[in-house]
Amino acid sequence: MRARARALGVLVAAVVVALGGAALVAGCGGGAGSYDSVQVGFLVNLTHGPAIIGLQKEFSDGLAGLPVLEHPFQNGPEEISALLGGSLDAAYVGPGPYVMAESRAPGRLRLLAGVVTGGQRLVATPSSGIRTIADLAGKKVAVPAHGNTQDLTLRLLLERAGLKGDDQGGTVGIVPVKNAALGDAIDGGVVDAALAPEPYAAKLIATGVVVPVAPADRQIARWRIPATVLVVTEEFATAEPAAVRALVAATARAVARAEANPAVVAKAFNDLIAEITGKTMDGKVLMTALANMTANTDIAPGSMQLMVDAADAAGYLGGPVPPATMVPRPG
Amino acid sequence: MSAGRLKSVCWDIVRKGWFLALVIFLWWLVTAAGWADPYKLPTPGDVLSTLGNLFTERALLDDLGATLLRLVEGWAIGVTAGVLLGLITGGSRFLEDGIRPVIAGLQAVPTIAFLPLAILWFGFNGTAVLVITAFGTFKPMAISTYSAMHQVSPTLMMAGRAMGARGLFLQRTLVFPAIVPNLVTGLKLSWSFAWRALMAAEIVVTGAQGLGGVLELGREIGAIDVVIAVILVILVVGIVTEQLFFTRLERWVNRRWGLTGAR
Repeated sequence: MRARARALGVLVAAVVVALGGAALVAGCGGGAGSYDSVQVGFLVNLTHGPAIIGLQKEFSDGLAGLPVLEHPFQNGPEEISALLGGSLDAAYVGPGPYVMAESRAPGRLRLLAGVVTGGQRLVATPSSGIRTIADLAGKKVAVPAHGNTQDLTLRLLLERAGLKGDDQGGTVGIVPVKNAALGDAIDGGVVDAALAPEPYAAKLIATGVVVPVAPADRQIARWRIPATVLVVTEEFATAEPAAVRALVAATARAVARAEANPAVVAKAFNDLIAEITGKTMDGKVLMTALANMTANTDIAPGSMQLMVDAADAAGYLGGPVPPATMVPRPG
Repeated sequence: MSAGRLKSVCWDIVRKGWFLALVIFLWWLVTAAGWADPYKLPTPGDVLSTLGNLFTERALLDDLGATLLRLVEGWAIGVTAGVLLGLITGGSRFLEDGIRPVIAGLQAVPTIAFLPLAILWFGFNGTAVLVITAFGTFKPMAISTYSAMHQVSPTLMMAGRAMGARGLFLQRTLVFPAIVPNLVTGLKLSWSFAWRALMAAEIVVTGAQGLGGVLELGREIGAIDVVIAVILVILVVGIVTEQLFFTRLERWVNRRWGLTGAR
């Protein structure tokens, strides 16, 4: 009898602990109400240059009376998780992760503006014989991550050339390789080419291990695919419209400054990575990389939809993405 | 099957499955009641459906096979190396004084910290993942082995020596059989360390086929259902391995060595 009562007690305790954990999961983040600061995320990437310099100057006095707290991230999916989990209110993020978020958590984020366009290149080892997009047939191409901007752009390029990735029954191996490991993957012959973000593409080209694939670069430039966009949580946008307007205005000022003087971006980026890693990158490489991108708050019509279509074809989407969410709503 | 045997099997299932069933029920309750954000915690039904899709559309079975093959290979290499080093260091004071502190220190360093080195030395491929898995296995196995050797009864050793056993003969006929029960504990421990190292490595070296790559894919595209589905697969593999291999091995060793547990 006592043993049975003890077993029942253990069962009740287990239920209470489990329900408590579930309530914690359910309650974490998403707290409604007023904000006493703006939590802004960005990636430690050159394509996030306007955000990096903006946080030093344009945001330093806060947004509509709210102080800005900056949070650097290493990759877009984690940044999106932080946004959807309630740890961030606004973020500079690639269009790929934003599209994924809209498909799996519809209506939770709001696209405000573009930040940087371009900033990615298809590069290949000289020995691979890859000179055109069609030459990618039977070859292996690195992208930083599944579903990120480079992965989706590569799939668009392949589609134009009548090719497909190996995960869709095609002949082109699409291999996710973190930016930091890209050099090793190319040296080790794991991949023949890479659709790399800047400054990694410029760095690899400067070392001579790869050459740009010019036809692909021209096509990417024609699409005017954003490298970085500004998004906020819908909750923050509703609760703090003045702060959102100030965020958009401050971003526009930072973008204009970045476009007018790329050297400021190069210096701020080097200062940031020196703070994190203790190392810096060659200034010439950074300036070459910056020449391959445009700081611009406009998002080219249809460019975001291209990302949605590529993600859909790759089977990455969790649900439909309304075209309206791909158009900036800064107001 | 007799009624008694059927009752025993049913009770066995209830006894071993009640906690898992409770967790799944609570999970369903929390999601069905709308207490949890569906993005953060999908329903059990959604995860089950995703799991089905992963097996039919993404050939998850191939990923599972690749992971298990790598796991068994890495574990076997790590166990062999760990047992050999443990036996060698456990049998020599000089070697133990020099090697044991280093291995014990290495145990505190997460195996994944060595992945950049493995990628540099062996390439961005499955070999680097295998090496990391073997290394993750090796450390706890070596420590378990020489700890086991230290637990061999001095009386037993004295008796063996008094009967003329020396050197390798003493090791083979007395020491090794005496450490087997502790080695089984080491095998179980190193198996879990092998899993951890393997998953961490597969997540980074995503070009290699495996469950870690699918887990990373789910994270990258924000598909939490995929992440939970892969975790469930790993959990099931863990339960099956425990029940079909380690529990039986432990039972056999306990019977063979005349050991009984607390219960």
